[in-house]
Amino acid sequence: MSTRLANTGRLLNRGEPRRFTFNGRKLNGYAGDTLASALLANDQMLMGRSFKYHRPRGVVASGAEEPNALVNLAWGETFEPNARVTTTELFDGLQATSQNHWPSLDYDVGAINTHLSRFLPAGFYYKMFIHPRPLWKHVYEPFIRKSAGLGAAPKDRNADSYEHFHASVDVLVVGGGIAGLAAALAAGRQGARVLVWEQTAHWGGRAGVDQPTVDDMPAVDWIARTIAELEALPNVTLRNRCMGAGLYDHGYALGFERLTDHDPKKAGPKQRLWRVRARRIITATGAIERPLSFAGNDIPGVMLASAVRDYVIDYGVSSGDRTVVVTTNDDAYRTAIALKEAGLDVPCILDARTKVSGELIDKARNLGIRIETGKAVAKVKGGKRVTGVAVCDQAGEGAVLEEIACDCIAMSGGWSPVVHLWSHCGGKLNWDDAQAMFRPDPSRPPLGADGQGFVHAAGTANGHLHTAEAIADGFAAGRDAAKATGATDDAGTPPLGTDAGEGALAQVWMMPQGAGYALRSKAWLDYQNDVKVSDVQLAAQEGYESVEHAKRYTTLGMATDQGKLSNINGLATLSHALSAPIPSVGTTTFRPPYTPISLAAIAGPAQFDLFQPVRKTPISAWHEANGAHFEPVGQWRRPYTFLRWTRIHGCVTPRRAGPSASTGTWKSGCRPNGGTGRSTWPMSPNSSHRSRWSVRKRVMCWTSWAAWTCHQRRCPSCNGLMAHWAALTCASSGFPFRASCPLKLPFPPVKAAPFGMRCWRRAPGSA
Amino acid sequence: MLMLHCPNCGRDVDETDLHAGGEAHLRREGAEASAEAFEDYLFMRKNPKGVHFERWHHTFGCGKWFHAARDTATLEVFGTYSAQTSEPPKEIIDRIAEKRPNWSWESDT
Repeated sequence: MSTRLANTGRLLNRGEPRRFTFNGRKLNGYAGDTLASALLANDQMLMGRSFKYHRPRGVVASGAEEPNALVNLAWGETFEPNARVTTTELFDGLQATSQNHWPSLDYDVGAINTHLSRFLPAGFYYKMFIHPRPLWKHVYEPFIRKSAGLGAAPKDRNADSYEHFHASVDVLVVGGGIAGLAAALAAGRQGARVLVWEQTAHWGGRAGVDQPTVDDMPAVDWIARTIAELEALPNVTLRNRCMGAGLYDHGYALGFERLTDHDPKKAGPKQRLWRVRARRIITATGAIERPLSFAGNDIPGVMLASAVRDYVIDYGVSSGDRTVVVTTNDDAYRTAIALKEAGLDVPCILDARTKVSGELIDKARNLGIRIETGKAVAKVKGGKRVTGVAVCDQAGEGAVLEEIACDCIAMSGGWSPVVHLWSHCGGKLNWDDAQAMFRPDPSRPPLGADGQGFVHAAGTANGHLHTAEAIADGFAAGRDAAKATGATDDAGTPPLGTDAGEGALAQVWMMPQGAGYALRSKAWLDYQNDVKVSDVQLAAQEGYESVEHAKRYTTLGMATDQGKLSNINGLATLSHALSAPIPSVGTTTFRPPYTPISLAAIAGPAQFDLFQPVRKTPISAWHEANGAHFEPVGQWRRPYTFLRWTRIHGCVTPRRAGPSASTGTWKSGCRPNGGTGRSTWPMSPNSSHRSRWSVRKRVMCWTSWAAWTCHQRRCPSCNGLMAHWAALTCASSGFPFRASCPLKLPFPPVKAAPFGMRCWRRAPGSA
Repeated sequence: MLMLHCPNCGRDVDETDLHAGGEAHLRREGAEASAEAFEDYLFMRKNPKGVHFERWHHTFGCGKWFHAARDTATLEVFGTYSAQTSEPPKEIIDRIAEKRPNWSWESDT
């Protein structure tokens, strides 16, 4: 059971309830909740189905790295697929529906795939869908198309507005954690123009949860004081709910700001795309916790240790009554301590290391938590919810020593710095073996126009996982960046941070170390695309040794989370399979955007009449005055035809067919030969019909125009809606019209050829 | 997105305001040239990883051509200068030589 706790929840405003629905069920939450925490508070751990095997999946993380819990969001006329529940702030009237299942989330027919997984290994589609060839078109492709994609596509036109925002600053700080704030503080005090982006609604990042001490005060107080100081500086701009999407050449950066996503009733644009030129950029983007690879690590209830902690402290939600913590480092002990202090049960901490000591371990032990060293998870028990865990020795092959009943497992395999932005424009990485992470190489940064590095990584994103180093690193980065832009004022004293010391972590890429195929084929690396440890090993065995090849063969890290959780585990597994060190295997390429951003925000205001300029020739007004119907030719409009029968027959109603006069774009289905597949315009001056033009011109003019008109089921004579299909047919077939048409429509009494290039030469207005 | 300084109008310009015009300092071959020389002139381009001289057109601005010397791998810009010249100004050659000791204008041409 996951449920709401009475006493914790620092981000919640319990005075403001929020009502929402999930798959039609009416549920309640509070202001400050994310959709994820609100669902957990209502004991909805099962939130989606995986892509390939349709396995039941719950939420794993608490931030942008979440791979599983993607839902369709609806509110009023707005519909948005693939929304991450962990980054969706709760608002009144939100309607969420889960994805990728039939007939329901609880009972999904596609779940049969998980039992067929033996026959659906990595790259099975490359092997299976080749022969026999005719099956591709009629069986395989329709089937694949049907199973492709997760969310539903919106049916209606997007009714919201979006905007672009251009800015030029000295220092851009991406990330509003303590390192980013310290950097902004240093740069802002020196007088540089500073812009700070934070992707969540709250400042301070993880420091609000982990509560280190900064400048002899609790971190939350320091954060509040720093925000107040930054807001008072006229040269500093703070934007929260604004994600640094990508860094590009010469200090160009894109930011994606959510303006009314959290409160759709608010007026104004929904999202804003920032297009920024910055002279120096500081990436203080933090770090993401890594999952551990053990059998059944995808069963709902297995979560990242940091996420379990976040839900308890930030949102007052317990993910389970009894939580077993599985870890390779000291940080996960904070989760055990937080759970115990919230009054929840932690039956056991399974630590893969054989020797542990330190402040956090002592604290956990003093709280009465049982700590088992050198132990690992042999298997997670449960189907749609964790029911227990089988314990084994990490060094062994998975012989079960003991089974512990629990309904939540908090796992931690160490932390990976978010190096995406550093890498977007060519920053290089080093492998830090002691901390088991890729971290930015300060000697090989992205270079700007002056040949100097223009990006500074700072804080945990630079590999400094502890408060003291992270905050000092952030401050130094801000100071140096501002100095490089020519700022001269005093940066003041750097903040001093302290937190509990931590021992070394163990590099654990498979639990237990000697796991056989049965365990490896149930140990998930990429949750969203269903890639298991055995799949990566198969790829290596079949010769996909380059990490880029293995990625594409197995689809590891190719889902909408772009491998934020899975990449390091995947390439460590690959390097083991190849018996090569991790740095020689390398990483896949980090490409913008950091998390998916909406196409509407990229388009911005460039819609409808603003989509592109209409270019006009000097004669354009004359064309319009003479009834020209235009076709778009790039940004130009060329008269396609001059229609004058309506006038002749006394129908003064302006024709609604053809390209709109203001934009020159065609309404769908209005093209003269649209959809028929055959040309109704055989009289192009350059075509072979030219020589016979004089003979056929009347028939051709008439039938072509009639075809166009009839295509819209309008009477060629009076322009009224036409019901007579026979006329329609003979008109569009180009058949001699007068003889066969039951309507006996007359030829239009036109002397000059009424359209096309001919009209240009003959000046149709004067005819 | 690159940012280049237009020497004609004196502004720093986004790449989207410019149009790339290919390699600079091509020597036009006349009618008397050999077929190989004319082929070289017409089709062969250096496409180096490193120092490169390029023509740029300030399309959405002053509408004039200029030349840029930059590193295609690191995106470092050594300088921009007038297109009315058959070889880069000395200060740009010196600047590149200072930053790229193994490079020289003679070996480049």
